[in-house]
Formats: sequence, C-alpha cells, structure tokens
Amino acid sequence: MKKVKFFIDDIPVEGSQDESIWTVAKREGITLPHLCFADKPGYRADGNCRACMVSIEGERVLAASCIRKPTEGMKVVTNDERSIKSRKMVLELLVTDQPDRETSHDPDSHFWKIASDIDVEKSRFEKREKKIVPCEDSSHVAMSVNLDACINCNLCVRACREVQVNDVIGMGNRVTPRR
Amino acid sequence: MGTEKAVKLLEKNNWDKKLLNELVEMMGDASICGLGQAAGNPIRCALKYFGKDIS
Repeated sequence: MKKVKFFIDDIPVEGSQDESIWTVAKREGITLPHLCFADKPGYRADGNCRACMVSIEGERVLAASCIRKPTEGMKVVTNDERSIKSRKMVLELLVTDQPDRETSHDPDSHFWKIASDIDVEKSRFEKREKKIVPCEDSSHVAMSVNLDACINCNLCVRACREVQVNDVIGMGNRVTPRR
Repeated sequence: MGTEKAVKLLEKNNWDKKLLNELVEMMGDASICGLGQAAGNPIRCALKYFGKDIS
C-alpha cells in the first residue's frame, strides 16, 4: 500500500493509504477519544459517534478521524480549541442521558474512561424524559442488554455482523425507545 | 441528539445563551449530515442579531 506523508499537529508523520488518521495518531502517541470505533482487528470504523473529531486545514467542518484517510500533505490538527471543544461537547451530550456514573451498570466502562480522560464528568443539559428511557432487554436467554446506557453507536451490530459473522442483532427505533 | 437538547434549552423561559452557542457551534462542526450542521443556524442568528432582546 502506498505511503502517505502528512502532518498531525505540525509533526510530519507517515501512514499508509488505507490507514485512518486515528490509527496514525495513535502510533504517534495521540489517542483520540473513540466510542463507536473499536481499536481491534476486524472492526470496521463507522465514524458515527463524533467523539474523535479533528480539524483538517482548509476544510469547512471537522472530520471523524477514525474513518477519515489521510492524503499527501494534509494538515491535521487534534489539539486546537475548536476540535477539543467539539469532542468534549459530544461526550457531554452523551453523558447527559447516561445513568449516573456512581449508580451505572459499569462505572469502569470504556465510555466512562473516555469521558473522564477528556474531563467530561457532568452535563449541563437536561436529561431525556424518564418515559422514553428504554429499559433492560433480557427477553432472550442468550443476550441481555442495558438499553438505558446505549449510545446507539452501532458497534455491537457491526461486531455481530462483520466480526462474528452471526448477524443476529439489529437496531430499531433509534430516536425513542430502542429494541 | 443536539437538536433534541437544543429544543429543551429553547423551551425554557431564560435561555442559557452560552450553552446554546456552544451546542450550536459543535453541531455545525461535528454533525454527520448537512441538516444537523445547519439546524442550529436560526438559533445562531437569533442570538447574534437579537441577543439584546432575548433575556
């Protein structure tokens, strides 16, 4: 695969064409927040959670680094105010509708680790109404899922379909209570 | 998610202008689709041009 030379925070870096900006940044010692993307072999990035946003010089909006591939000479910035604020705001929105950390299903979850890594522990937003918070689904003996902590990132569906190749779970009713 | 929380903020009698601005900025920068990016524009304009009239 062809090598691509570009910049991350003004540091010249090299990656291959099929690598994401996120992967190259991690190799360079910058681990950007990631929720919908699992850093494991076989997992396809989707770029939907928007926790890994970075600025790219000359572009109007930020880009999700987990899905964006670098191009020659691209100038990526991870530590500017705009992208840092954006990443924090995304986490703050997600934290809003989570069960409180102390009483959550798993206070040491990947989600909470990422949130505390970027200093987002509390939210200034109003929680969603209780009546639309989905409850636990343990209707099948083989699976049980705490839907009140689900962020709709689709990772479990991709893992089931593309990594395990079982294709037995799906997602519905993404806005209001999910099944 | 952003629009949902924006509506909640707008429904209040006293707008949290700082938070609304931050939210709208992030939606414009980080939404996947153009609809989400533009959804905050009316709020942005209201705050920019009618900021003094809004308590």
